[in-house]
Amino acid sequence: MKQKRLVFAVLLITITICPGCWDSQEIERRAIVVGYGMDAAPQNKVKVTAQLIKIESSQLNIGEKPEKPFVTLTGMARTGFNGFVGLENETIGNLFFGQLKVVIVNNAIAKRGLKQYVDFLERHPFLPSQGYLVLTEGTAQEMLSEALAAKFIPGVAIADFLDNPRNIDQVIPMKNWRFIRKILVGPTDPFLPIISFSKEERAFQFKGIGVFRRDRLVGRLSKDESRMTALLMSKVSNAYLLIPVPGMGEVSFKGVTAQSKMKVLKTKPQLELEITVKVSGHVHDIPSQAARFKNKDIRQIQHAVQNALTKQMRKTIRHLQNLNSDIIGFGEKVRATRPESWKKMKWDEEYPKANIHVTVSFNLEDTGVYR
Amino acid sequence: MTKKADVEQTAIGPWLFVSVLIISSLGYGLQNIPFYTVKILGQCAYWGILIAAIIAALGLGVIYLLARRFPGQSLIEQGKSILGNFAGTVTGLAYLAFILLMLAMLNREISNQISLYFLNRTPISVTVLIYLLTGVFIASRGIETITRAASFVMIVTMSLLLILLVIGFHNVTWSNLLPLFNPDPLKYLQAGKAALQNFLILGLVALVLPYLKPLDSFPRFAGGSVLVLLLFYLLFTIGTIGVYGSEFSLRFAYPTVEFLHVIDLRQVLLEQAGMVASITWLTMILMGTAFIHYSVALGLSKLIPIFTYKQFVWFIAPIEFLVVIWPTGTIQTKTISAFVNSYGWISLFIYPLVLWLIALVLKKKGAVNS
Repeated sequence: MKQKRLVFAVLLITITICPGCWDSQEIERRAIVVGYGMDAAPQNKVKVTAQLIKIESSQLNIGEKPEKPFVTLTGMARTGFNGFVGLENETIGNLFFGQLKVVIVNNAIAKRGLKQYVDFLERHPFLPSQGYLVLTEGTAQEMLSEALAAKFIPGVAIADFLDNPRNIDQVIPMKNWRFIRKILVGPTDPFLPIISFSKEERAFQFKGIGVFRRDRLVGRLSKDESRMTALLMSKVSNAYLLIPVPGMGEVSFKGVTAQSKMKVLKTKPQLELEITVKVSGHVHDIPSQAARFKNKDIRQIQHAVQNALTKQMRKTIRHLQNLNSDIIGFGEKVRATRPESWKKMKWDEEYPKANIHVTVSFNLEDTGVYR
Repeated sequence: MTKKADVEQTAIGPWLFVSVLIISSLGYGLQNIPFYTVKILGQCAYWGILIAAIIAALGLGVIYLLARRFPGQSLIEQGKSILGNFAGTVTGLAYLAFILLMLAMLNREISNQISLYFLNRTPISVTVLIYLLTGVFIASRGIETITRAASFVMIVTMSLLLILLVIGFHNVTWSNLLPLFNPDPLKYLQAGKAALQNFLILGLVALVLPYLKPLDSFPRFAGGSVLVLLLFYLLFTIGTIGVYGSEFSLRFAYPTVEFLHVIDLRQVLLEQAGMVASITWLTMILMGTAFIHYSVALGLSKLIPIFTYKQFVWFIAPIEFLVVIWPTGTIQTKTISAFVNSYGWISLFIYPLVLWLIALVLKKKGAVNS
């Protein structure tokens, strides 16, 4: 009995003194950061912007005009994390990064190389690895400061858009951890979706993808090239295509998906690879209102799509080879399947002159409600 | 002094034994998997896990042979019977001290994880204290309570782990696991030795085997335990390498946690998944802590019979607390853990083998247990 009382007393004391109060924080005291931006500044510095949710603005009275439900803080820093420390002094609350949804970097800083600026995103567990990285040709500060017409908090709106797999078409999302892995390990190079802000429509627009060679931005792909890249990488679940078909005009296809397969044909004397892409989708719109399709018509549509896609994909791959950026992952395929050749290979020299064959097949799944 | 009620006199069925072994081993093994094997074998580290499972099964075989030769005796008592009182006590003490160090590092690792991922402002000593007291309390209730609690949580934790694994595999890039083989055959053995750390807890069965009834069921349940562990370790190893690649996974202090950390779910489900993973993980390690703590206390009560295991459970708690808070951070913890993991197999698998060989050569046998 005496021993039981002792155990009970010890447990009671433990519960009283050890409830983890050190880490408790009231929500009003938290400055929740949902967006973080980095712009190039003179003297190799970086201008950082943090977008914070204004918690009290959610408590509006009827008839009250809504304000911007977020605030932005800016500061100068030497590295990405160094910026956090400066911003922390600007707010009376504690900056909380557990809900950081998007990090925006601008072109100029991406051209410098992002290694030194993004390391902190993966190093500490209090920063979510699932956050998105995006690139802007304007300034990250502008992206995070402007209020949107449709959705109030820009950082959340961007993440919501990228979170939805049905939106992956001309934009391919890139999570923090994947980007960091690619720049540190390779051989596949990273890319980032390019975002811009339309002041007239007060909305974000995605404008293709920025292509990196390791951690440096080396070029950009147009929206169409981005779509082809997504198809080549099997990243698409709902792409849109507009392809001219003889006798039918420009036919729209929706729900386009792709499955690609790479093969290393030979590594000597010249590297030769093959990529086979199986694409499928359905007709969404035919301007000539064609109906009653015969097998011949279906074959004609498929043939037209195959030809168009093959041409566009070849062009995209050539563009990437000219930029010497392997975002599709050809190098990874060689490393995995031809390890001995890979060890002897100088990928930077081999990749731009590699002979890459593209074979596309298109399967038309349906033509709408018309037979 | 020893009261009759405080001396463990129970019999445990195979299912309870399997539960406690699997839960404790998973809690311990998943801490470091696949770091050490990846370091040696790279992207095909999974072969190391397979080789380690075979070595662990052989080790358990030796423990079984020893138990059959000395029925009703734990490893500590077998040591005394084979080596004599003095040498048996000294080697037994060294064996138990090593397990205590292993337990301390397990506790410190989980406390470090709690500090890193959840409570970074809470002093580590507080986390350790809560964890240790809970573990010690469960341990003080005896093998039956520990095994029953383990069997109660086993199905739930393993199902949750499997669900998380399935979701986590969504991020796997299969080419990260290629090429399938390493050209250096020696590396497979080295990796197998390194991966053996994940099966070390199985060796603790030597301390509690007298409670298993019937003893003949041991080969079946031990084999089953090794297979279940092998499955989970392989899945976690393949998942972690598949997601991060071998090179990048070496950057993480807790690669398996990071594998689950990047689970690709919508934000609304993400936090719930994280919570489920954390609860599962903490429960497994808590059961492991209780089981190892109990085993050490039981071993000490066989060495120094003037105290019961219940008393030893509380006696060793302050020592363990001091050892747990001794490392100043993750780096020191990892250094000590690396030592424990490198030499743990000598204690847990080679010591029984040496005892068995000596018993065989000297033709020593225990009395048939009534």
